[in-house]
Amino acid sequence: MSGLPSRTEPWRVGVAAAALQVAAGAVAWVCVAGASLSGGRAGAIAFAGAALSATAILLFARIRGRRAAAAALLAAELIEASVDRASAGHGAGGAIGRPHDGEIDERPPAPRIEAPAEVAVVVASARDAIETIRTRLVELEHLVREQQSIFASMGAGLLAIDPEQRILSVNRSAASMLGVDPDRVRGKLVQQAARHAGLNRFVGEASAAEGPTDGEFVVERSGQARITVQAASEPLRDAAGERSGLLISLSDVTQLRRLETLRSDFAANVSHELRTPITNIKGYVETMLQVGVDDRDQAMRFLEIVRRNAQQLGAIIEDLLALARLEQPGSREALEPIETELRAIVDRATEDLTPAAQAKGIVLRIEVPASLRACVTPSLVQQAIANLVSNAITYSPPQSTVQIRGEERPDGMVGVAVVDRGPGIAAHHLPRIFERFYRIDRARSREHGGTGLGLAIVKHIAQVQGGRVEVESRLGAGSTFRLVLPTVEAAMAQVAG
Amino acid sequence: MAETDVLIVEDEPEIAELIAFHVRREGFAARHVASGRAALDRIRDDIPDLVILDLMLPDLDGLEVCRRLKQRAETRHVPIVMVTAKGEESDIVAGIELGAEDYVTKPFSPKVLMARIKNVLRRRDEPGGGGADAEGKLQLSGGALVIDPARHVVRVNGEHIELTLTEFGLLLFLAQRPGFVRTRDQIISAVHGKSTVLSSRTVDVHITALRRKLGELAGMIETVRGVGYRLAEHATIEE
Repeated sequence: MSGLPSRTEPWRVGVAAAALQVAAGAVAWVCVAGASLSGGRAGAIAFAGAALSATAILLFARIRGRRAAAAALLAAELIEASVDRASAGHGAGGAIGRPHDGEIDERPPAPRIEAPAEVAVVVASARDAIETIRTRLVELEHLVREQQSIFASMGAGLLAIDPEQRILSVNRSAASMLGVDPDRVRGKLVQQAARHAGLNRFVGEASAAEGPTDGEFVVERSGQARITVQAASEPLRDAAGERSGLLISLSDVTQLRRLETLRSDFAANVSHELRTPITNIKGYVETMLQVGVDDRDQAMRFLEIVRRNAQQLGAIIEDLLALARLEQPGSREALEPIETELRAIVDRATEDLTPAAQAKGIVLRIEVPASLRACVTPSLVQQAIANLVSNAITYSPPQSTVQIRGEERPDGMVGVAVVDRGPGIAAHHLPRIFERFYRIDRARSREHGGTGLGLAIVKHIAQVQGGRVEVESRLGAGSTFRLVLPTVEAAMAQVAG
Repeated sequence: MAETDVLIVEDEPEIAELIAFHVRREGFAARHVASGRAALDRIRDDIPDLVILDLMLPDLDGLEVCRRLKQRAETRHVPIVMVTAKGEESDIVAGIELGAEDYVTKPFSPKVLMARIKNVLRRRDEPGGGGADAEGKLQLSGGALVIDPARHVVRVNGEHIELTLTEFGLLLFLAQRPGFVRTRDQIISAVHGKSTVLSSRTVDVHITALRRKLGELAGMIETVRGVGYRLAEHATIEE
């Protein structure tokens, strides 16, 4: 079970102990008063019994801190019962334990002795004190329950261990991160309960440290994905200030680290992609300034390299900006999807590409039924289709056909398939071709002025349009890229869903 | 002496062509390979006089090529000038510690690259390195800085200056290969034990003190940001 570790709340033990000491004091008081007043042995024994049990409970509470509040409540009730009896002048045995309704006291009542007024005052003040204690203890119990539920349900993982590195308590979140059953690991050594080298090392270091520590480690869980956990420890101290263990907070930073890696990989890629054309532009221009342009052929060749690299640089920047715009959440609201004929989008997308196709003797065969309509932002979809058709033209052999086919999809979406007769893509490349700057053949891509971002842009456009992009390809058998887009009905369903 | 043979390892063909153009213009022979494996294959058959090594290569990365060349007895002496990306100082430090002689960062100036190459080749041809004279004295910046290891004496423009043991060790280490960057770790292991235990941080402090004592030659000790320190060959640096 999950619960507050007993050693984590020295204040609680302290409060409970103080409350009980007050209570025990009250008992002793009433005991003296009661004994002297009643004069009967039975009454004295009853009070002494009550005081003893309060002391026993107090001891118990000291040992089992987390039950302190409940124990104190019981003690308060015992004391109260004794006071009841004292004030009623009815001091017979049976004071231990709560008097139950309907319980018949068969013993004859003790002789009634009229109590002087001072005794009534004493009893009344004892009653008040007890009432106050009871209220406090009830509040305390609430507080404890509240903290227990916070501990159990909080998103951060918490793990409390004692100085021998036994688990005092572990919340749901921490248990799930470590892949353990929270009910089974209490009382076990951390090393036995969770066999994670990283965690064990952290616990070892944290135990040896005087103050708080932090660290990060990878947790391998059988049958589950490995996670990266960030941990921070804080020494626990008891009421006397003695080190009583460690409280360790754990957070799962897997996603964060993954994003950071993606981000830095992307930054490294961008800088590499930009640096190459800049090096060429700078290098060749400097060379011409240095050696002059007397050798005309050489100068023209260098200038051509500069022109090509400047164009490449421009293309990469354009594509990066396009991706950045697609990723900006604000800009998505500006994408007003409207119901559009697919055929019209395809016609516009292929218009600019016809000269390139003709130059290679490639026929663009458009087969999109006029009935197909998609609920999209036409300019973006046009760009995505243009990227796919442009790739198809680039990689198709001369005098071949590129087919652009509109399709109704079984899932209520519509598709545009771009089918080429190119060399095809090896299976191991397929999962990665939509990644930014992923290139199957660097030299080939560069030759065609590719930026390495075209398919990444297509994928992004498909996503912001509520669709997807798919690829089928086999080496030697050409490739089919399919952009799948929502119809009005599908878009409505997406919104509703 | 045969024509100096330079091997260019670079996967971007236009950059390789640019480097080759300048190498040939200096009167050296330039050969080009586009991958790390091709570089190792080529070098196994025919050991060049110098390797210009791009660190970002498609198959075997440049640092690995560097490590393998510096491990093998037959190729250990071949100087390596790395071509790397700015902002990848950790790669530069790793390369220098593996034994690479120098580096330029992309986008580089062909003029600077050629200056580095000529410098590396010249050092290689100097026996004992560092330009020590017959008595073992090191003279730098046209004699403005003279270091006499035997007598433990340093003169700046003829004036004797007092250096601590650590400062002297540091200056001597840098002066043995002027124009070459030394990483903090290299400095630490070279100077360590002679006088005191050094840390990365204390290297910086000793350098500051040393610069102050060098007075008008202070600028000869250049900080190479993110990498380490270099002693310039001349008091004024051209680049």
